[in-house]
Amino acid sequence: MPLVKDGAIIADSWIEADADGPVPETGDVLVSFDRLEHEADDLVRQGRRVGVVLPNTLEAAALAPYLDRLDLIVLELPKFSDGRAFSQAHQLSRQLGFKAEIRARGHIVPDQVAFLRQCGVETFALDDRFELDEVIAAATSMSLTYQSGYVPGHGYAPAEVFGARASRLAAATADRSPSTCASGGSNT
Amino acid sequence: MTTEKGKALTANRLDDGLVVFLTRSGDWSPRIDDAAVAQEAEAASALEARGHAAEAGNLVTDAYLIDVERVDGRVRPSHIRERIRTLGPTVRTDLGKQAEGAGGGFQATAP
Amino acid sequence: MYRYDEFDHRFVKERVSQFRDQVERRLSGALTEEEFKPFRLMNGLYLQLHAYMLRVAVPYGTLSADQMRRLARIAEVYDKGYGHFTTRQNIQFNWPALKDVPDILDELAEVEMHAIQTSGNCIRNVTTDAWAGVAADEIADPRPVAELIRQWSSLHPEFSFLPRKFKIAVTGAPHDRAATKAHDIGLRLHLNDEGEPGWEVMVGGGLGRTPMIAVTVRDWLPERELLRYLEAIMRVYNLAGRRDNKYKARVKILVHELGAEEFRARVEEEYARLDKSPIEVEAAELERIAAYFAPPAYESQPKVVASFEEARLKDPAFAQWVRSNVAEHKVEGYAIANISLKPEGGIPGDATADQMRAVADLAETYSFGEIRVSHRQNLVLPDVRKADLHALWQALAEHGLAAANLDLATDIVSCPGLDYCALATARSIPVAQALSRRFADLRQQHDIGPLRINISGCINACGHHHIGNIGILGLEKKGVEFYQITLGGRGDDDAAVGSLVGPGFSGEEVPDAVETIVGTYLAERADGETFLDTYSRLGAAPFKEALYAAR
Repeated sequence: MPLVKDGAIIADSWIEADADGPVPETGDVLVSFDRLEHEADDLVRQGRRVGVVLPNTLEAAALAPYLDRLDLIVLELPKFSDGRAFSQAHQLSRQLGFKAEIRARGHIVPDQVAFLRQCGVETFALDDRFELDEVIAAATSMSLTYQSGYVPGHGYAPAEVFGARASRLAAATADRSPSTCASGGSNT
Repeated sequence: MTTEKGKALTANRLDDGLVVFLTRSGDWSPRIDDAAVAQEAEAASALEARGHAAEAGNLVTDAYLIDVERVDGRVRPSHIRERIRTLGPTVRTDLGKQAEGAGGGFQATAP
Repeated sequence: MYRYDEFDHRFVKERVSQFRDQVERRLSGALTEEEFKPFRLMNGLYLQLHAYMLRVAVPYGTLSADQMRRLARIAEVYDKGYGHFTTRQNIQFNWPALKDVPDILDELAEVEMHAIQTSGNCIRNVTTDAWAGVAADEIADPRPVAELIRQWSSLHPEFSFLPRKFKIAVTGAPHDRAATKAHDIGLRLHLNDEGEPGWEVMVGGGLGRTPMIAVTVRDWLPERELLRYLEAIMRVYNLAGRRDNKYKARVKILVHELGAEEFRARVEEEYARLDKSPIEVEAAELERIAAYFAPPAYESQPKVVASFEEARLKDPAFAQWVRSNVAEHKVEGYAIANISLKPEGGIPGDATADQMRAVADLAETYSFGEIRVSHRQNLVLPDVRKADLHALWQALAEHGLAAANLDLATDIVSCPGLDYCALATARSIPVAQALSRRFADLRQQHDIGPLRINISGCINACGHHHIGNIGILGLEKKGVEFYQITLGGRGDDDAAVGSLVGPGFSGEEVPDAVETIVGTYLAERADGETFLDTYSRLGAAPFKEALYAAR
């Protein structure tokens, strides 16, 4: 299936380089973590964007020295039941402040897309078996999330339950308390 | 008294979980006496293949071979687990296939 | 108890709709069994020996009368007229059809129930003390925290594909009745010198193949930081827990392999850097939830309830039931009534639809409409006036629910075993039934005193045999069932895993073996000693000798 972002198919401009051998001079190039570690200084140059595949055996912090030079981080699910990518995505996007594209690929089931998006994953490379409408339906089936700090920055986003409750309570309290503006009185 | 030892293929029906057995004609019966018994490895593999096909066809799930004996037309699983699975809970003989006349000609715990 | 607001209602509705869609896609083949299975499990649906099995969540073991009535209806309409209460305070139905499960979940949602995450590699039902909120020794009711954790852990986007299942237990009393040390995370409430509530955080307990007792990673964590700290633990586990071997994938293995110090260091490191900004909204949420657990409108009662005392004197059977099954309530004139689901020769933890409805009615009449499920597979009416106990007991007796055996020899905990479970290696229920009949004599049971017998039908230990005072593990060799016996286990604050006493026994030999063990205790005990006391004092030697000398 072509690349998916926010419920739409998008073009994929990234070329994945081999383990060794030359890397394209221009354009978007995706390399392995090993290559990045050894060649970071060479890879980053004008007219070319660099992306890396982060093995799911590493913590996000392994990429800390390179984040300001990366435009793409690819996370992998070797088996869909292997949930390490969810934590990697969260660490990258929330703790390390990575703002560029985080992509998930591998054995992903459409029903995982919503969770991955909530953890900070932006784009998805899913198996050809799946259809776009199946992915959209699964990704938008829940309108609420109980957890704080897991709202995607763009596209479909569930509402945070705890925050919504707090807002509602604040609004109710504000309604009940005397308002200096409304009554024209003052607090002195 | 004829005794054949062999393998039968069992699975659970996908939509309701009922324990079923693959018959010679290729459909699935809750009665173990209807089960096709494969006496050679090749025949057993053929049963397995049909089981996988039925899984892929979303009819059944979790198909696997079990050791059985057929004695005078009645089929009995060799292992206590499969005997219980064929009959129903030993502690509620009013439940399961044993209560619906679809069990088998054996006791769960008899040797 | 907690009541859903519109957000909770919408959440479970959407979840059921999502599952309905997943079932359709499975039946049509759009999802393979392998892909469907985790989502099936995350909605509590197993494929068991005879049929599917649905495990419905009873959050921290608290149920309303109406919810119990709905469970009775589900048992009748979709199942075979009964349900089974489990060692994690949930209820299981053994015969639902996959195609009916979305409808069952819809009916559950109507009464604010669900089967979310009662299985799967995710955070499971948060369990607690069945006497929470009412026990005389309790510091504070742990259920608001349990409810907070329940919500936070429901469909957690980051922690739904863990290396393995994850179980959390909480206790608010100094006597741990929730077996917190046998859980992946155990939380124990302590007040500091200023009277502020804080939580001892323990990680890495668990039974099963490699039983372990949890280690303390924080002695006292301020309550408001709880979810933040749990997030740190979960992230460390999600990233570092083993995924190469299903039998080595629980957090207890990670704690053991890293060592407690290193594990704690990693959690603290993660905790130091994670986002703490949600603390305020989470603390506000806990406060909102706590309001639901305000005590009911207790009526003022006299210090001595004459009618109750009289009934005890006049009715020896009632007195016997009071002695074992009635526990001290924190409010004068009230009592905690324990309903045994272990009748003589019965199936531990099973209840018919009629019995469920009877309990619902009695809860409404005598206990402010509230029921609890204990992890020893019994039920509790937590708020009964002493003045009502006699009438309650008489009603219970009419429904076969008045067995006077709480924590005695016939209050046996048993998993479903090979009669029901696809994972089992041996049957467990017939062993429980045989023991129940052997020790039926109540006077004998009272003479023996507190004795916890736990039976598991396989090494996964769902019967919690490791923490049984007498634990029985069912195994199998060449198609023949045999049973290993362990002694000295306990699940309380002094939690310990039982020790294997020696070679195994056949199913027929088990009742004699247990009788020999009990007989040894009776012969050797000093004044006032329980079975556990005597075992602690003497060790296994006299028991081994009694059991095996003749062999």
